[in-house]
Amino acid sequence: MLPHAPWLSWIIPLVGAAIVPLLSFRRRLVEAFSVIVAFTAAAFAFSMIPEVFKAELPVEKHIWLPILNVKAGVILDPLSIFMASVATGIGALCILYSIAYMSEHPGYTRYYSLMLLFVGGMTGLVMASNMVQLYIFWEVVGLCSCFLIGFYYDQEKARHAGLKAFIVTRVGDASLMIGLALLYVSTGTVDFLQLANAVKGIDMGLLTITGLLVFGGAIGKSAQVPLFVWLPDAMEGPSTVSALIHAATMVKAGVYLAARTFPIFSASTTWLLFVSWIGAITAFMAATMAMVSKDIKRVLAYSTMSQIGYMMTAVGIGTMAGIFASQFHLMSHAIFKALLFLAAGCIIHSIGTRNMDEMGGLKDVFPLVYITFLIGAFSLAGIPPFNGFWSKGLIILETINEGFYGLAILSSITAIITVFYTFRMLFLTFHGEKSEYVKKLKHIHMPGITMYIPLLVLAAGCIISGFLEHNFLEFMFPHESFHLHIPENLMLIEYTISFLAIVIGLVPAYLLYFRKTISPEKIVKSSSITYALYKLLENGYFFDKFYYSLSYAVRDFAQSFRKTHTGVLSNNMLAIVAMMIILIILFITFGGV
Amino acid sequence: MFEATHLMLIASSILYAVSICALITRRNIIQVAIALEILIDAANMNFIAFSNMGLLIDPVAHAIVITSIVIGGCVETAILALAVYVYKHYRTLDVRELHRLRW
Amino acid sequence: MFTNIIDTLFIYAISIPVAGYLCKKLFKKDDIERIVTGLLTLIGIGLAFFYLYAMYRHLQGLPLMIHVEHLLEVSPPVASCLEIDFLGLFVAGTALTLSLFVALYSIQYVKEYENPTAYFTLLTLMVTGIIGAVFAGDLFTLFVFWELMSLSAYFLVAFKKHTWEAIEASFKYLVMCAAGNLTALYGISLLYGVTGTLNIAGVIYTLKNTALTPVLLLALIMIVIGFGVEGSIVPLHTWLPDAHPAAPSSISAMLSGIVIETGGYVLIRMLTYVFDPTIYHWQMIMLFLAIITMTTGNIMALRQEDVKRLLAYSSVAQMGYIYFGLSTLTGTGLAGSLFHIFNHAMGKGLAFLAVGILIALAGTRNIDELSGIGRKYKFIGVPLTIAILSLCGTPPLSGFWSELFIIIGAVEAKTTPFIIGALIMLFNVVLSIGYYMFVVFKKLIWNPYSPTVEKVTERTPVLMTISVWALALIIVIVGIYPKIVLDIVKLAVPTSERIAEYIAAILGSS
Repeated sequence: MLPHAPWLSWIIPLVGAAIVPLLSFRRRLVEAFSVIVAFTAAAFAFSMIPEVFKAELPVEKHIWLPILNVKAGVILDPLSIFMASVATGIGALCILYSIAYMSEHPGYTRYYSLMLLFVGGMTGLVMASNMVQLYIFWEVVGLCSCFLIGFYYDQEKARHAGLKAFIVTRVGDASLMIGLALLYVSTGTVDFLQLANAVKGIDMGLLTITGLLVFGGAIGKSAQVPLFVWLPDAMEGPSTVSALIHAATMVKAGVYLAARTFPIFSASTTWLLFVSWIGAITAFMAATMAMVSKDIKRVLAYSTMSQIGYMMTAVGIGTMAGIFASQFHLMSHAIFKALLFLAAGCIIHSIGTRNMDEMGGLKDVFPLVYITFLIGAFSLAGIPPFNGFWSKGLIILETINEGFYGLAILSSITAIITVFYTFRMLFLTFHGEKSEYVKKLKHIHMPGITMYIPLLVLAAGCIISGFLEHNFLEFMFPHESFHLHIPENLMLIEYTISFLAIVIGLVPAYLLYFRKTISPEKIVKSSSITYALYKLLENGYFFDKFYYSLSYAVRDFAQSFRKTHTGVLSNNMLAIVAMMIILIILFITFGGV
Repeated sequence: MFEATHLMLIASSILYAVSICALITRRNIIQVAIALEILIDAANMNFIAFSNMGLLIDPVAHAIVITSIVIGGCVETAILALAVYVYKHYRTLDVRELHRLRW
Repeated sequence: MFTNIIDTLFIYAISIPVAGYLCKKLFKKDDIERIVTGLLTLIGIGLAFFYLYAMYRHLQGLPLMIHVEHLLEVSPPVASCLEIDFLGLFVAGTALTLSLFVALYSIQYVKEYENPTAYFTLLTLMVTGIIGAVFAGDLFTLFVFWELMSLSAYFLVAFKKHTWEAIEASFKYLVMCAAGNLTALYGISLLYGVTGTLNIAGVIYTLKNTALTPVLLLALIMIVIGFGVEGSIVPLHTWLPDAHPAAPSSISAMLSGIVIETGGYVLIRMLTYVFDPTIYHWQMIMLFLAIITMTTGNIMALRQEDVKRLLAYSSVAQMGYIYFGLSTLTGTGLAGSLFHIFNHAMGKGLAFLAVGILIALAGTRNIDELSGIGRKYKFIGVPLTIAILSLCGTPPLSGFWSELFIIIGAVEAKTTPFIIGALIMLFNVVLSIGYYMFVVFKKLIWNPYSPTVEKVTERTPVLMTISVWALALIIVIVGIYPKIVLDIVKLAVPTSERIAEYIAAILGSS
């Protein structure tokens, strides 16, 4: 381990973020500095990996808040080291990719500063040893997300999407904050390691409520039902931001929180059930929404929600194997989704559209992007031997193994839909005829070399990481002799499910979008039920509409409530007298005179 | 002693009520100023009344009342100065006409 | 006699008009008068700050950590006195920090006003009033300094006397606050009648052994209402959204940042020290008032077109958070309240100062006309962003901590009403993002330039920018390392031991 790695891995990017504005006079300087900082942070984070196998992990703490007695500290365990490595590793790759991707935008200072702030914040989040510290970084990454989604703030859509992400996640955070307060008040500590023991005495009902409130934060951050509405809109940001923040790291913070608080709340079966069902329902709903979306990045966003739903389901199974499966899938997903986003980013950067109807036939134009995208897509669809197959399979296997058949069925259906929308996206983008739009493009400028390096690294990761299950298991549970006990016949069932899912999902996608023997529009218009269903999916189950009407209601109420301020002095004085009378009445009724 | 104190207390509470009512109902700024003056007097009278409660007459209350009268004078000056400006800008002394700032 | 801090401020308040008059007579240029009086204000406040720091060191050495100076050599329980304990010190420190930067800002800001001498004299007097009210050891001294503060504030709000707006706002402010202050004086006289003394410690000591009577209850109500007008409890807040926009921006920062907080401070002092909650049961009523205050403030702010009026309403909401922390009566909740006084002073002060620069540049207060100006003037836009993020409680900025403490305090109270209150407060925080981010941030910083803004070509004024950045830096540093402020807050939280110490320090062993 490099000296002070648990601290420096997040302090370096944070300090770097503050230094970037000072270097803003030269673009090259900013770019070089950011890349160096990001890779240094990654080096510090990766250097912690061997620490896992040592007997005792060093924990450092510093007194920080005199009132709550909180000590700022870092927690070093496989979970945090793993997440820190993912955050800094993918962060470094995304920043490297940005050099070419953002080469024409004048706001480079803001961009690199926020990216480094994000990398630091995310690493700080996972290294935090207590809830308060976690909450701080939780908000820091939320803030970075807001500003980066609104990065192209010349467009109204981007501005709105950024702020929408901020406010929706803050709703979840409000829940997390009150959960934190309840936890602190009922146990007297916010330290994760102490909490696991401290909660043993408290009432089960209270524990459940606290757990649900804390999980509320995860729902907001990880875009789970019902607070998912911000993630599809978040695709207004640059593709690098989508890859890093809205696919690989920040949205996983919810999964991390659920896994981190698992030892605290796992005693409550209600909590576990809630977590797993929220996850499974999100997985299903998001996958169905991905089937109809026209925007390539929105498809990827829905699929992110869906895959995070899988991870939540795995956490909610309630066994260590479940936690392992969720983390394993987290790793796979971080790699393949970052790859998909970056590859999609190459295309968007080159042809300037995100609408899949305006693509088509791109596999000849971008052969290398096509191959890497294909690897990512196979991974997402769960086709062996890519990593998604192993990790998603493990989750479904665990649900069956622990007897949650409802979850298993829902997850399997989701797997079918996943295959369908993945291949729909693949066929629409890369196969078939070139669209009118692409044909008209004068010249398509090809992605630069710095954009290919991250793609190739991630593609290699997709292929390799699936086979590292046992190494990963050893890494996550270094001191316990922990094995996954999976009966042979279950393994067979799981392989069958995976195979069937691929076939059932692939065939309609192939017919509809590759062969085009049946037109999708015809199916939609064939009956009023399918049309209604299509509208339901297109509008995201009307959650968004519902929230908007709610906010309009508040706005209109505020508009009419303003009339109460008449501005006439006599009325103001009357209010004073009325207040006095009300207070007298209140004191007589409640004051106990 | 008993009666005087209590009479003064009753008088001061009446003064208080009168001035508050005047602040709500009166339209003219000068009347509002007078109402504020009465409010000060109500509080002052209370102090005088309470200074008489014990065996001795408490000198502190008297010191307070003298200071308070000075402060009342300042407030009156302020409101009258503003009244001049209000008239300059609004051409009226009706407080209910001063409702351009609202909502 | 008086403590150094108030002494200094008074001396400067007297010497500023003299210096201003001399400058006016000796030099033909107006600029010299403005700069000399401004610098004198700055030095006066700076010196006061220095003495306050010396007092802080001095207090730490005292056994009870309370410094008392008797004004009259009479036996303690009846005499007026000044006392400095950590509660007062904390609020005074906040007031002086903010006013230091406001003074620096004003040197450049008052350029277009015709009478800078009057402005700086009134500003110094207002600061003196705040410090005096905070250090007052008896209720009448409190009232005198309170009136000093209010009177200066009335005139400062009316400073742009050639506009109808300032006059109307100041008039409403004057009548409402004067009525409120006199109501408080009436309540104080009732307290005096019951206890026979005005010394706060003496009152506490006497009331301890007195049963609850209707007269005392009336005194409590009158004091809450009286100071609540300045402290902007809804529905007594109606002067505030009129006065804040009409005042010069630097004064809005002072009013919103510290004057209304002084109201909050007096209520905290009176309610926790004088009116024992176990006897008077005001907790639920304060909770009720706090919830009404925060909700009304936030809802009213949601649809404002005038940016300063919007910030004024949000101040009402923030005062609601402070009262909520007070009503919980737990150590954490009260600490949160006190810390929120600091954070709101810095955050809202900064917001008003930054917006003030933008308004001065663009010449309008309408949010739509100001659209995109923060993007044009990045050096103002960034601190403004920091301010509004701190105000809506985003870590790692300082506003987050007080919010967290208030929430934890409410949960610590462990009764259903307070937990519901905590939920309502969190709902309010989300609501406040609705205008802080969607209106102020989005329209002022992210939106494209409006035609008005496009025409603006002036450069940002240096001194004003420095003071804005200094406040932003304070917010960030305190946010990252809140211990520097929390160490004082910890000593300032009113607990029963602290109240006992307070009585012992002022009344002596008797």
